[in-house]
Amino acid sequence: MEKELINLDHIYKSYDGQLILDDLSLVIHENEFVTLLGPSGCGKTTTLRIIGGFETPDKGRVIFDGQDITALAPNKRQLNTVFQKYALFTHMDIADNIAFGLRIKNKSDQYIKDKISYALKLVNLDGYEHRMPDSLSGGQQQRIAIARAIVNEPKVLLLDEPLGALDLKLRQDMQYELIRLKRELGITFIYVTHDQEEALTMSDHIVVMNQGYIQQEGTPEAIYNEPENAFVADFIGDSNIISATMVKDELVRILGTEFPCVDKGFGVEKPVDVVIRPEDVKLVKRGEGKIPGVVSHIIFKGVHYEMEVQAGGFEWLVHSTKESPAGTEVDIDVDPFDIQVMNRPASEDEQALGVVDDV
Amino acid sequence: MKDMKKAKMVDFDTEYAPKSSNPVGKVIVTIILILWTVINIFPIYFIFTFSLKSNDEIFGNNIAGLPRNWIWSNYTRALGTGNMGLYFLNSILVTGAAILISLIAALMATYAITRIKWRASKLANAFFMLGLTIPLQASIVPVFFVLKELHWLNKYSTLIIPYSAFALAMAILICTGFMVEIPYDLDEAARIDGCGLWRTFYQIILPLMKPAYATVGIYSYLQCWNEFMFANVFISDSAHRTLPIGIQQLSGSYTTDWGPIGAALVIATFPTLIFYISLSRRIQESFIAGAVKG
Repeated sequence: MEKELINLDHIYKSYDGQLILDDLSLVIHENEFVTLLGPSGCGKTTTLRIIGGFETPDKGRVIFDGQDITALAPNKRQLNTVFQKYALFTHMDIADNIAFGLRIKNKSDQYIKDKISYALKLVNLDGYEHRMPDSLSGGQQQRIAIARAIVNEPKVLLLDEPLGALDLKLRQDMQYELIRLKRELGITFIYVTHDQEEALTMSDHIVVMNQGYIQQEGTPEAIYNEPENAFVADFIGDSNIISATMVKDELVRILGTEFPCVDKGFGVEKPVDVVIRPEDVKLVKRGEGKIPGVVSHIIFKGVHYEMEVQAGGFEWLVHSTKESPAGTEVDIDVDPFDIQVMNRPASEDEQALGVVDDV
Repeated sequence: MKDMKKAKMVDFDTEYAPKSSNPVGKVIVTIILILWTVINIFPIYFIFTFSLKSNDEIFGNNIAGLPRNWIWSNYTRALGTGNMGLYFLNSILVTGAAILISLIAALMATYAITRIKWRASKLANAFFMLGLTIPLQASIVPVFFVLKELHWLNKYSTLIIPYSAFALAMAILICTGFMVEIPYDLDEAARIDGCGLWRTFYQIILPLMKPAYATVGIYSYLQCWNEFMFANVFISDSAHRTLPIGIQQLSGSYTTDWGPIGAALVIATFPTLIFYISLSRRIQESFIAGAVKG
């Protein structure tokens, strides 16, 4: 693992008496693509603004490369920000936009010129020096915003939903573009988004946030395959979240039927939640599976069929490449390692906290 | 199914073709528009012909017609004996300076109120907006005494400073409307690059505020150019008089020659017309700026 670069140490932040970040601690490593993911109002942008120096935490410290930078001005930090709405200076041409920070730092004309052409080449927009921002498309403007941010040679690039204003196709292209940029620049990217697909595509490390707390952090695979609580399971991808009972280790009772599973340590006859991804639900012939059901609805989604199956009093969401028309009688089966067992939160607060008590 | 078939039968080209225009309606609209144009142009025509007539024609049987004798000397008399040339320059100086000062002050105040976070910013804004509620007339006496105590009467600045002050509230109100439309991200982007408050103000905010200049300019201009009360009370020497006072001075105690007064009025109105015609598009744009979010 790369060396530790940013350490958010027990950060608290509130606005008008409302707590936005509650004891948030987070470590970000060098050369990582970290995504802060969560619904609006979860505190992800506030976290980014605290790292960027636009907000000061009420309590807690921001450590950058071993130094406390909590009170340091934004321009003194080795970070740069790319804003959602690009924040280009519309009265200056592209070259002046990119050179803005370099001119303030009194760099030589030749240095500035070289930097501009380097940055424009990097974002595939060489030759655009003398265009005005208004004459560029949204995607091009966002590239210029990125070029402007990287000429100052930051160690970390903060990106606040930078693709939010772009259309779907452009957004997907820009995702690959960002991954390439990160690889070429060899710097840390901290990315804020509410789009789970974007997070899964680009990140080395995802931090899922809700109501000011970190719900779970880990690699995209870990977040998707092993969500720690119902919020994460529900927020990342589609899922069937069902109340169940842990009969004993490696055996869980779902909707009255016992399923072998791989989870341990939840106790005996304990209420739990289980998460089963729609693509992990197997539809088999009547009599060959565990819970009998009937397909109630089917939609063709391109890569797969999305079906709703009424079984055991629950409406199962099922993704499959095999078509089962509405009205087909089927059985539902799930492999042991596809059942993800989670503790059921006792209260809403606990749910927000993502508390998993040791049983 | 029957209904659907019916719907398909509709010939959209004929059904929804633009309605052939009614010639009677067109004539009525044209007449109304011509009338409106005449109503608007007549005062300009009237004052211009008025300025070229003698008292005999003005009070005789030729009130609205073209002058029988075109007395261009009314203009030379207004400019010469009436001293309108000097008053015109004085008005330009006083109005120009007041517009400039109020605009600069308003831009700075608006920047401080809308973009810098400080505790009393809302209070400061409310304080400035109070200025909108104070009528000029109510302040003549106190302002006169202040100026008198400071030995500040009969100077250009005697008018420039109060005019700027009275134009300030409206200027701030207009500038606020424009400035809140500039995204705050721009300030932060500049800040990351190490740009300080001042530099952000004149390199980022001022260029983006250009559309506001015209609106503020027009408002301040109208307020200052035609101002009579302050100019009449605070200025008693002829060297610093402005146009409205100059025109008033042209009317004599016993007999009044109206032709030169007309000429002076044309001279005084002329810049307003130029100002409006050249900036009318900008003014219309600025009225809707802030009403629609971009």
